[in-house]
Amino acid sequence: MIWSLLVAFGVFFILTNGLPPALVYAERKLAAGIQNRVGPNRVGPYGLLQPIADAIKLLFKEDVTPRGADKFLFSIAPILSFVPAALAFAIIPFGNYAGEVRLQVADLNVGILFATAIISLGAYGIAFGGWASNSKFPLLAAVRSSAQLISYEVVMALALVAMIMTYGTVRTEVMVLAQAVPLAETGPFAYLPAWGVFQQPIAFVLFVICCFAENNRAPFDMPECEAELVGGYHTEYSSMKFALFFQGEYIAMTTMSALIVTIFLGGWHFPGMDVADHSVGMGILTILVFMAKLLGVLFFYIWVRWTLPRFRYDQVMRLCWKGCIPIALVNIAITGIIGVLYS
Amino acid sequence: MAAADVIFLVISIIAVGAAALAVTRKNPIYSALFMMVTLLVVAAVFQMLSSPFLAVMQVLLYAGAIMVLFTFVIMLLSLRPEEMGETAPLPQRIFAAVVALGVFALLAFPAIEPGVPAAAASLAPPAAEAVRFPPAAGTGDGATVEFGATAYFGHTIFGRFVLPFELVSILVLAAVVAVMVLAKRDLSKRDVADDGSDRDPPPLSVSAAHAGSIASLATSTQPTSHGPGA
Repeated sequence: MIWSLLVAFGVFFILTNGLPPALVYAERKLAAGIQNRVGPNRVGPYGLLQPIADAIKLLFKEDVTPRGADKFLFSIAPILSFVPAALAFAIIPFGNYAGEVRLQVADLNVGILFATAIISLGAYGIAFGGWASNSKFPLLAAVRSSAQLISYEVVMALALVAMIMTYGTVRTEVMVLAQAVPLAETGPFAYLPAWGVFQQPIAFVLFVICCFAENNRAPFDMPECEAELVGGYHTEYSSMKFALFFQGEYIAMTTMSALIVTIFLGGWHFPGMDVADHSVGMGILTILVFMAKLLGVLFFYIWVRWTLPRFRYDQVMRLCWKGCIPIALVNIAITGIIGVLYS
Repeated sequence: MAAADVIFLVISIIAVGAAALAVTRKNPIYSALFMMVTLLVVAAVFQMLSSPFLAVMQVLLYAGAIMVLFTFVIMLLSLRPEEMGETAPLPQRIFAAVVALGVFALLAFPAIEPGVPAAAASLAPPAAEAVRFPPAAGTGDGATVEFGATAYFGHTIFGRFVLPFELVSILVLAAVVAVMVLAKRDLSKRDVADDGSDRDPPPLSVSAAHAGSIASLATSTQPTSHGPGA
């Protein structure tokens, strides 16, 4: 029991606190590659120590609170944006079993709904941060972001409804097991696993769009688009408060990627693996498979950010309410019809 | 005192304290913050009453969606002190206190009156109903249909209470349509163009239903400065 807790929290801690600096480095290097630049290359070999140098710099910077700011809200806003993102990771099964140890922090019977509920609280960090700064650009960013997050949460929930109907459960580890079978008994599809992306391609596209929008990542980075809003909601932030926002954004990105992997890409399972094998070696292998898929999705995140231009705000809203929501509703109806016909 | 009682006591104190702070704060954004705390703690109460699904829905809908909309509207209005109206006159405040105490007495009555819980229990579905549910499709929760679980909620709402559920959804739809009609200045004019000339975000469906109550709440909250520095 104590070992299972230690292993679960160890991996949880590494993924939520160790990954962001590595991601920042990866993002800068990949961006440089995409834009035909060199990227960080001065601190350490290949610039690998750059994230550590950045962290030390941020720790020693002066922590400025603007004179007109609301001190209490200004201070708790970075925490409010950091904590929900890390908390939602608790329900992700990042492996099968290592001996007796279940490789998941919390196995809740509300499963995936817990993640959506906790992620929806992340809007407060941006909203309070922008408002408490008592500055025009952060306030604009906060208002934009509240509307954007609320809108795309609807699409995300609707896309999830279709997936819950497909798997017949809301529990994440049962979802992974449901994807660990071939897509069809016979025929050409027998070679494909029953991953969510093959069963529900429309829901997959919608969910990925929502993940980008919920993370405020390009092309949906309305709350911090530097061309219009200086720095967006964290314009007035400095030092570790700024760093917490920054880290929160990358943890949210990791959590969303982990959700994509768990719901649509088979989780820790890879075709050919025996789900009943609970040995330690197999457990480590499942963690590695999960990590490989996770890094693949994170690479996709970074790739898209440095490839696509930013939406205009009205385009963001129109895409959500006139594009994604009708498609998601039709997708649910089709899923229901197919479910009734083939049950 | 059992551990559950201690936890219940702690979260009750937080809930009531945050609720009291929510109504006494002069700054509407702090009212919203403490209201959110209250809603989150009430979710914990639901969890203690072995209703995890209800707890998650409380967080998702009330703390995560509706309170975000409240903060959104408060930030959007950005009322100056003189726009917020004056403090309510004394008779109005006394009347409000009396009504609040009356509602409190009504809610507290079942807790102290021994006959009421028994009467309420007779309205609850028989325990045997829990096992009558067919197992969910696929690899689902068929074996673990228990009170408060997601599957139990689904079967109860879409089985036993499907008609009231649909009636409520039609009511909500009517409210949404009504707000749309009220909010749109000129119904005959078609103001949506593909060249992006319509910069207004489309109305939010849920928010539309709540917009009226949110606006009235934001304005009726104790008037004072809106921004932190004002």
